[in-house]
Amino acid sequence: MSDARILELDGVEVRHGSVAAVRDLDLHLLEGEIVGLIGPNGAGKSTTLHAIMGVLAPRAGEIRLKGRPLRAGRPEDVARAGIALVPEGRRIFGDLSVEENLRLGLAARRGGDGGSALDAVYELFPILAASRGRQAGALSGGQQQQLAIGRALVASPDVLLLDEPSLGLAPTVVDVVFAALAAIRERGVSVLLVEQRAQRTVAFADRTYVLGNGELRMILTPADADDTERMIAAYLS
Amino acid sequence: MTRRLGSTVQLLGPAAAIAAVGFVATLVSRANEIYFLNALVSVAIVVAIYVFVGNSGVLSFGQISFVAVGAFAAGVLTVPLESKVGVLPDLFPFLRDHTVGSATSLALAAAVGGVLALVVGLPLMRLSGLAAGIATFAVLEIVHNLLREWTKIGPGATTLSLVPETTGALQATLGALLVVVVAFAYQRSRLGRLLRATREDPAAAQAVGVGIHAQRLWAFTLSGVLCGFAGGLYVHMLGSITTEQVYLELTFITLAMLVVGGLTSLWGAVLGALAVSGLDSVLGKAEEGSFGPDLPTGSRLVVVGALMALVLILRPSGLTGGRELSLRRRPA
Amino acid sequence: MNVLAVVDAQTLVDAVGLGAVYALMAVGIGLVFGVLRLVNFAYGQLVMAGAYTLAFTSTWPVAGSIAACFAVVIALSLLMERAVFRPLRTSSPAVMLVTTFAVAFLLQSVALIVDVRDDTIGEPASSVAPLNQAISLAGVDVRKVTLVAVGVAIVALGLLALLLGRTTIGLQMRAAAADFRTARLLGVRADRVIAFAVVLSGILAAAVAVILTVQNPLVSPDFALKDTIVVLVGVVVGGIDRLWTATLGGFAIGFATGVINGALPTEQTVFLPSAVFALVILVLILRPAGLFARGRGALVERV
Repeated sequence: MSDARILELDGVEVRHGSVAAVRDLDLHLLEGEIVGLIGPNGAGKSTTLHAIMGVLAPRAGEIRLKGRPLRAGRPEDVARAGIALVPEGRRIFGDLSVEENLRLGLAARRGGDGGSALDAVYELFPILAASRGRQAGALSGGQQQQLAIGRALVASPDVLLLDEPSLGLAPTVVDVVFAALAAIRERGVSVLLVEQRAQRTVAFADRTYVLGNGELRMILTPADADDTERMIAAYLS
Repeated sequence: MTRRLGSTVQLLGPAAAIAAVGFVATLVSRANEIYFLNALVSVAIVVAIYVFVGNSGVLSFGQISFVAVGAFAAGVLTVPLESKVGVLPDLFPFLRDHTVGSATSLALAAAVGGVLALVVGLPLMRLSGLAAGIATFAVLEIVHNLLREWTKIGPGATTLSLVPETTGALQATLGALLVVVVAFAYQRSRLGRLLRATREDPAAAQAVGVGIHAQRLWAFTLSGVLCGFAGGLYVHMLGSITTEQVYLELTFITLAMLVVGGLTSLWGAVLGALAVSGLDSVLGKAEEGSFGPDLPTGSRLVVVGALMALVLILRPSGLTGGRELSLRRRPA
Repeated sequence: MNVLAVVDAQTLVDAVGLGAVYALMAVGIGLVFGVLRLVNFAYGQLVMAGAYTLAFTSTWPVAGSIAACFAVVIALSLLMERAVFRPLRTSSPAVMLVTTFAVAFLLQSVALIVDVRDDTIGEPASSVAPLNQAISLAGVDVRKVTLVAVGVAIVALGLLALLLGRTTIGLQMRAAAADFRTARLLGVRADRVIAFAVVLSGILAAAVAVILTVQNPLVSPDFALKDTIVVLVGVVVGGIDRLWTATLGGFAIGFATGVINGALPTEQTVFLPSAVFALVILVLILRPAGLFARGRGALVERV
C-alpha cells in the first residue's frame, strides 16, 4: 500500500475572475510522503492549497482523496475527510488559550480519543504544554507556528498541508519546524509543504513540484538541491 | 460617434420613460392621476438617493431626511400668509412672516437639503459599510425627531396642510427630468467618474490620489440638494404632510425601488422607481377593493418587502443588472 | 443635581428592569452578529411574533401560551436563517443590513394583515397580565415582571457564559466569531454553529416577548420596533464586535432610558432621541469599536 496515491490532483484549473491562477495541474502525494511545492510569488501555490481545501472551486479537473473526489465549497467537509491545513500567517485565535486553540482542531477529528491527541501534540511541542493556559496571542511567532501545526495534527489527518510555515521565523525556529515535519511523517501522515525556501525544501522533501505562472514547470528530487543551475532554471523558466 | 450615440441613449431612455408616464398622467381621470404623479416624484427621490448610494457604493438610510427637510421647508414657506399665524403660531418670525411662490420654494428646499447634507456628510463620509448604514440611520432618526418636536420650524407632530398643490403632471415630469439630467451630468463628469472609481476599487483609487472622503462628500451634498428638491415636489403634490410620511416607510419603499431596479445605474434607479411605484399603486388600489375582493391592508408592503428581499438574495444587481440602457445586445 | 434628586427607588428598579430586557435583546443581536457579521434589523419582529402568539393563545393555560410563544419565535428564527441569512452569507454587511430591513417591513406587514382581520388594530394578551401586579419590597412597589426580567437576564447570561466558555459548541462559536474562515478550515461546521447561534438568539427573543407583553399587553404590528432601534443603538455604542460590550451597551441604554423617562417630565425628554442618536454618530466616528471596547478596532467588514 506504500505507493497508494492518497491525494491526487488531476488536470486542475483554478481561476480568479478571468485570470487562470492554476492551469492543468497534475500532482499527487503517496502515503507517508513529504512533497514540496515551490515557485515564485504568484505562481499559484496558495491557490492550489485553497483548491484542495475546497475554499476555491476548480474550473476543470478533479481533486481526489484516497480515490474519492472532493467537493468544493465546504472546507469543513474537506477537513473532516482527513486533510488539515496550516494556513499562511498561522491564523491563531489570539483571544483563546493555547489549549482552546488545540481543542478547536478536534472539530475535524473522526472518532478516537481527543485527549490523547492533545497529549501527543504536547509531546511533539513541549513549549505548548508549558503554556497551555496562556492566551495564544501572547505567544512568539515560532510558538504560534508550532501551535498552528499542533492544531492541525490533533485532527489526526491523513494529509497535512502547510502554507509557508517558515515565513518570518528565526533560523533556529525554522529548524524546529522542519524537525517536527520529519516526526510527523514518521507517524504516517503525508505532507504537502508550500515554501519559499527552495533549496532547503528540495533537499528535505521526497519530491518537489515547481510551479511557475500557474503551471507545473518540473519535479525535483533531493539530488537536485545542490545543482544550483537546475534550481535557478526552475525559477526562471 | 457611436460613443456619443451610446451616451445619448443612456439619458434619453430614462427621459423617455419619464415623459411617457407624465403624458399618460394627463390622459387618466383626476382620481387616478395621483398614482402617476406619485411615480414621477418617486423617480425624483430614488434618482436623488442613487446619486450618492449608486455612485459611491455606500449604503445610506439617511437620504429621506433630506427629502423631509425639503418637503417641510417648501411646505412651511408656501402656506398662505393669512393662514400661517393661525395654523403655525410657534414658528420663528422669519418663517412665519414670509411666504414664497412654489417655484422659489423648490429652490429653497434644494438649498436646505444640500446644506444639511453637507453639514451631516462632513463627519459621516469617513464611514463605510455597516458603520455608514447605522450612522445614516441615526441621521434619519435625529431629523425625524427634530421635525416632529420642534414647532419653531414646522407643524411638529400635527399635519402641515394648506400647502398649494402645484405639482401637476407637467411639474412632476419636468421635476423628475431635471433630477435625472443632473444625475446623468454628474456621473459623466470628472467628479462622478472619480467617485465611481473609488466604488470599484477604493485602495487603487486612493493610491492614485483620489480623495475618497472629498468625492463622497460631493456626491452626498448633491444628493442632498436633489432630495430636498424632490421633497418640495412631494409636498406640493400632496398638499398636506406629516413627519411620518417622510420617515421609515418612505425610506423602505425608496430603497426597495433602488435595489429592485439595480443600485449602480441611473437606468436601474428610474426603472425600479417606476416599476415598484406601479406595483405599489395597483396593490394599494386592490387593498381598497378596486379589483373585486379586498386585498387585506398591509398586502402592499408584504409584496414590496418580499420583492426587495428576493432581489437582494437572488439578483443583488437588480432588474437592470446595474447596467445603463444600451442599444447593443449585452454579451452573454 | 435636581435630576438626581427626583430619581427615587421606584424609578431605579424600573430602570434596572428595562436594562435587563434590553441586555437580553443585545445578546440576541450580538450572537448572530458574531457568527454572521449581520446586524439583524428584523430582530424586533421576532419579538413581535412572539407577542402575537401570546395574544392569540390568551385562552390557553399560561404555561402553554408561553411554550407556544417560544416555539413560534424559534421556528421563525430558523426560517429566517434558512431563507434569508444563508443565501446572503457571502454578501457585504451593508447588503445584509438592507435585506433584514426589508424582512422587518415584510413581517410587520404580515402582522398587520393578521391583526386587522377583526377590523381593529392591536390584540390584547391577557393570560400573562397577572405577572404585571406589584408587590411591595422594603417599601418600594416592584412589579413581579421586573423581578422576572432581572432574574431571567441573570440566569440567561450565566447559562450563556457557561455554554460559551465550557462547551465545544461554545468554543466553536467564539472561534467562528473571531475568524469564521479559519474555523471552517479546522472542520467547524458553519451551518451548525450558525443554526445554534440563531436558535439561542430566538430563545432570547421569545423571553423578551413574554416580558414585554406582560408590561404592555396590547400587541400591535410595531410592537418592540422602537425597543429594537434603541437596543441597536446601545449595541453599537457599547461595541457590537464583542458579546459582553454589546450586552453592556444594551443594559446601559435601557437603564439610562428608564432613569431619564422616570426622572424628567415628558416635555423635557422630547429631544432625547436626537441626543442619543447624535451620541451614536459620535461613537461611530471616534470609537468605531464601541465605548467599552479596548483599542480602536473598526466596525468593518471582514473577508
